[in-house]
Parts: sequence; C-alpha cells; structure tokens
Amino acid sequence: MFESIKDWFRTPTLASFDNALSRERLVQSSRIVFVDDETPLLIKELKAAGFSVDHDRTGNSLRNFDNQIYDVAIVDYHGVGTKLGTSQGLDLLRYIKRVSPRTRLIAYTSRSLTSTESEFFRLSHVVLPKDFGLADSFALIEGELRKAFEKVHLFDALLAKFNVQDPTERARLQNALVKALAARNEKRFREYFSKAVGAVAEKSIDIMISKLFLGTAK
Amino acid sequence: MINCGSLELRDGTEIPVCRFCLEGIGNKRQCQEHYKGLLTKPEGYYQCPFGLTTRTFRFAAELWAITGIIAFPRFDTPDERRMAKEHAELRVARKTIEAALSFFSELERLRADLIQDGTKVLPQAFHELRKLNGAVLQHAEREMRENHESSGLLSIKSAAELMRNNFDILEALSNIEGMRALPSDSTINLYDLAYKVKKVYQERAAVREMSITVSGVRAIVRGSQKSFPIVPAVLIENAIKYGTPGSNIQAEVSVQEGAAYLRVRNETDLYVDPARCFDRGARYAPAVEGGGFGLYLAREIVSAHRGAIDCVPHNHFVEFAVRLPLEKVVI
Repeated sequence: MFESIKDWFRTPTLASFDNALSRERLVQSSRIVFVDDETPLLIKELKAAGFSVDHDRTGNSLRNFDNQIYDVAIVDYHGVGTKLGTSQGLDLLRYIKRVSPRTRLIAYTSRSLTSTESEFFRLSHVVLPKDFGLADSFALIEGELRKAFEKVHLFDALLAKFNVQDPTERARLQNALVKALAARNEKRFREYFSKAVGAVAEKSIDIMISKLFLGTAK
Repeated sequence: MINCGSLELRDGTEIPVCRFCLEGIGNKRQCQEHYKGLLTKPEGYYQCPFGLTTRTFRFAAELWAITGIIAFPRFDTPDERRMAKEHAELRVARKTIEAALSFFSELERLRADLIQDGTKVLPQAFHELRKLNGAVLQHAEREMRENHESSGLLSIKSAAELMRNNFDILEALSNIEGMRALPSDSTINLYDLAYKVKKVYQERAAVREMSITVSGVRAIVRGSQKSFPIVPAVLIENAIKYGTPGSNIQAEVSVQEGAAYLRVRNETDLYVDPARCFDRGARYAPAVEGGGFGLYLAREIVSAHRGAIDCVPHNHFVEFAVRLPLEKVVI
C-alpha cells in the first residue's frame, strides 16, 4: 500500500508513458523504407504481413527523409545514395540521421566492411545481415519499430532536430511533455514547444509530436 | 638456401646444398647459432663460423639465407681462404646472388599485389555467397510456413543457418576491428539465444548421437546481435566436435552478483590447456578437423562485450563459462 502511495508522489518519467503497443497497432501505425537497389524477399514478406513499406531503389530522392515520414529505414551499403557522395549507403545513413533523427536506422548488409566503411555499422542502431532468416529479420525490425515509438527516443529526436542543447531548456521541455502526456493534451505541448523553439506550422513538429502522443488521445 | 627460423635447407638457386653445410646444420652448434643469430640482424652479408659468406633476405615474412663462397665481399679471414681452396664448387659471383635477390623481391611484390587484389575480390565473393545462403534460408522458412514443416525443409533450414554461422565466424576472423565496431547496445536474451543455437546444431549433434540441453534463466545482456551469437555457436560446435559421442552437452544460463553467465559443459577425454586454449591457432586434437580459431574469436567477442570467458577442465568433462554484465532477468 505504501508503494502505491509513494507512486502518487513520484514524478513520472517519460519512459513510464510508453505503452505496450499491440502488434496490430504497431503494424498499422508504422512506416518503413527499404533502400536497396535489389528486391529482397524480405520486402514482399513485410508487405504481406501488413507493414507499410516503401521500396526506394536509389536513395536519391530525399524529400521523404526531409519530411521525417519514416519510423525505420533499412539501408543497403552499395548502390544507393550515389548522389550524396562516393560512400553511398554510408552517406545516405549520415544524411537520414541528420535530417530525421527520429528514424531508427538499420544497416542492411552481409558485407565485411573496412575500418573506414565500418562507420556504416556505428551510425546505425542495429545491423540486419542479408542472410538472416525471415523470423529473425522480423523480430529485429519489429524491435526497432517499437523503439521508434519510445517516448525517450522521440523526445531526444525532437530536441536534436531543433538543436535544443541547453540543459535547462531541455529539462523545461521534458517537464512540459510529461505534464502534457499525463493530461493527454497533445495540443498544449505542441503550442508550448512551437513557442519555445520559435517554429510555427512545421510539418516535422506535427509528425514527431503526434508519434509522442500515439495511444494517449483524450 | 637456408630458412633461418626453421633451419630448413634447400638446394640453392645456383649451387646445391654442400655436404659441409648439410652436416653442419644437423650437428654443429656453431652453424645453428649462426643462422638463429641472423634473425635479429638487418639483411646483409655475414660470415659463417667456418668461413663461408651468408647473404640474408626476407621473403613471405620469413628470413632466408644464401650461403656460399662469394667473391665480394671478402672478409679476408684464414677460414675464408681455406674454404675457397677446399670447396671451389661453392664459389658464386656476387652478381648472381643479387640477381637471385632481385627475383625474390619481385616475387614478394607480386605476392603483396595478389593479396591486395584478394582483399577487394574476396569480400565481394563472400557477400554473394551469403546472399545466396540467405535466399535458401528464407525460402525454406516461407515454404515451411505456407505448406507444412517437413523434415527435409527443417534440414535445409538448419544447414543454411549452420552455413550462416560459419560465414559469421570467417567474417569476424578476417575483420576483428570491424567486429569490434559493430553497435553493441541491442538486448540479447541469453537463454533464447542458447536455445536457438541448440536448434541449429542439434542435427549435427545427432550425427554423433549427442544431445544438447539448455536450462536456466532468461538473462538479458547488452550486445551485438550480429557478433555475439558466434560465441554460443563456437562453444556448442566445439562441444560436438571434441565431446564424447553419445553424451549430453549442457548449456546453462544463470545470474550471480550482477553478472550473467552462460556455461557450456561437455564430456571429453581430450586434454584442454585452460590458459592456452584461447590462443590463436591452439589445437588439442589433430585428428579432428579445425583451424584453432573458434575459441580465440569467442574470447575477442566476449571481450568486446566487456565480459570474460574461462575454461575449466575437470575429470572427463570440460566447462566453458562466459560472464557478462547483466541488464536484467525476465521472468
């Protein structure tokens, strides 16, 4: 009984608002991009399982990344992102990380990389070998999708996108978010955040904040 | 021509091995010490204890020597003059020696170029093989899901997963630095991983009439989902290869004082040196196929995961214990 009383007074953390998304909800709410010049069987299997998957063969059309529409990006190493530079998949990964910090990055390769190329692995959140079985691939991708919806990850991405570095400001925003999540008031946080960072009617704010409040609407 | 490390003699490029040197290398301590001593000296001309001239050079990362009576340089010693008189058949021109050295130098350059070319071509070939294996594995899985799970399909899936494990091991061995650079903050359930490895290797074990049991708790650690699975794969594969046929291999996951443990235990009559078994190339059963790299790699991977691995031999069985920082235990 005392524990539950103590809980009343304990300040909730962001992580405490993470809902255990049902698999059905996860499939409905998420969006994946597969950047590969080939068409692996995995893409077909993901679509057959109901996931929304965009297959980008070149990685040269960057608008969707700029608009931060993807929860997970599965990026091949060779033959993609050629317009960004000679390091191809690595250049693309760097670009996505910069413009869409909320997107979970999966390095998709079975290639053994040199020490300079291995930044491709370091920049990604996880490596998906091309010779993983379907069941293992699904488990890995779904794991990253769940992480893409975690409040701490989304909040960090929001701050990274708008370059909020001051610790005091970060703490203030986090506090405001926690209160808004507790009250299930997405609009209140949206207005507070837009005013705090000086950004108005930004599509990227809308997407990220709506993800933060997924499953908490009044 | 003599290999200064192994003292192996070969007929020279211009002159055959002389009986004097052949006898000396086998019996005379001064000859053996002369060549061993050259290992720490720079390449050049040196006089042997009996008056012959030795010219050393490096080839394929080893030190070699050509020995004979070489007109220039002259060391002008009594032994040299005596040998020149008594063994005229060992005389060779300096020009001839330099031509031989030039030949070996060019061979070394070509060898380095081939290795360099190989580092570009082989990874691509490896990658294509892995993709092909991945296609086999995924199609077998789909067939099992859509039609029915037959023993044939299970065998194909198992073989493809075994192949993938071997590719992972070869890749990690060829690029240890790349392995260390892999992201290592994924969660790994040690029990589930051990169980999965058991499923992959149980057919192999069955060929030797061995069984694999997995027990313990669902301990969660942080690591690389790409590299860490190599560790239980190596331990269980070794247990199958070197264990007693017809016996049981036990994989157990436990927690103790903030650490997670994965222990693999098997019966064996082979002696394992617990201190040296993790050395690269260390082998204890020449009759069994193997390269002596599995445990070395396992130790490198465990170390990259901030853990430790130990070997504890007992009477008639051996245990390998992997210790890792514990994240949590799932009930």
